[in-house]
Amino acid sequence: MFYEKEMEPTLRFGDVVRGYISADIIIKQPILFHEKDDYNYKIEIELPRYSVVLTPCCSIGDSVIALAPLVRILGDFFNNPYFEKDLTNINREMEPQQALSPENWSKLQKQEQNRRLSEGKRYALLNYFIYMQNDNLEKYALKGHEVQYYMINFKDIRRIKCPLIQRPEKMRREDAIIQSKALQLTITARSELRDKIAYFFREPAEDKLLED
Amino acid sequence: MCLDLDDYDKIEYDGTGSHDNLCTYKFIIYPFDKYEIKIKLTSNNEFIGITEVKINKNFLSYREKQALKGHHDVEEFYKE
Repeated sequence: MFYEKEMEPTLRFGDVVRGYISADIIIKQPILFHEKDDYNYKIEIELPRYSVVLTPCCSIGDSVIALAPLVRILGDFFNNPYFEKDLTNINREMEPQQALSPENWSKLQKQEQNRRLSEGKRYALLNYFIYMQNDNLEKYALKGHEVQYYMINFKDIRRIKCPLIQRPEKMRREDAIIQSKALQLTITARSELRDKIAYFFREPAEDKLLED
Repeated sequence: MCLDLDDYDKIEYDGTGSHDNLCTYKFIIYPFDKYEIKIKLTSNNEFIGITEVKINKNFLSYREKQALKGHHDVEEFYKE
């Protein structure tokens, strides 16, 4: 099971929430000098239908939270039968051949196939985490499929300030923050999200080797 | 000679074709930091000597192994 049937009256890591605006700040170049009148930046604001809480449970509070917008999946995922069978397979480690469609795998040189096979089970599409279909999520059409799966991108995390965001033990079911909660992950799904995002932000191998 | 059954597989016999004066030894691998120390003992666990020191190829921690593991490079196949 991917989502809890009964949601807790508190915010948890991985929760799907609604009602939080999202802002992109765009600059043409780093602003190194302050004498200019025109800093040449812009801020783009949107209201995603859904977002996902990416602050660890124990760190939620102090009127701030990290969110990633819940976005539509990529149609190319359907080219891979292993993904098409269950799109949440993208959330877990997989064999090298499972990470590619049979057609794309057969196009690889034999040497490249052997190199990949020697690497064994690993994550693929490291920055994506798929959210299972659910009736609370809007359906959309994609490559001839009617889809209710969504995903988050670990490269697309923003911070939102709101005075109503308190420590979990201080929240009440009637609070607007809890009313904003649409779905809660099961412990297993939350654990998979934690594992993959931790791996995404892991210490790079080259740093580790230099340290040694 | 009296051996515990558990020790039996760890014992190497010194010499071949001889049924008298049979010497028995144990070899224990002792991990020490990034090294493996091979220690020679009698069957009664008496220390005889160090026979080998080599690099422990499993010295990386789980965290280090994970960092070195990488991921399947398939992003170019999933663009849109």
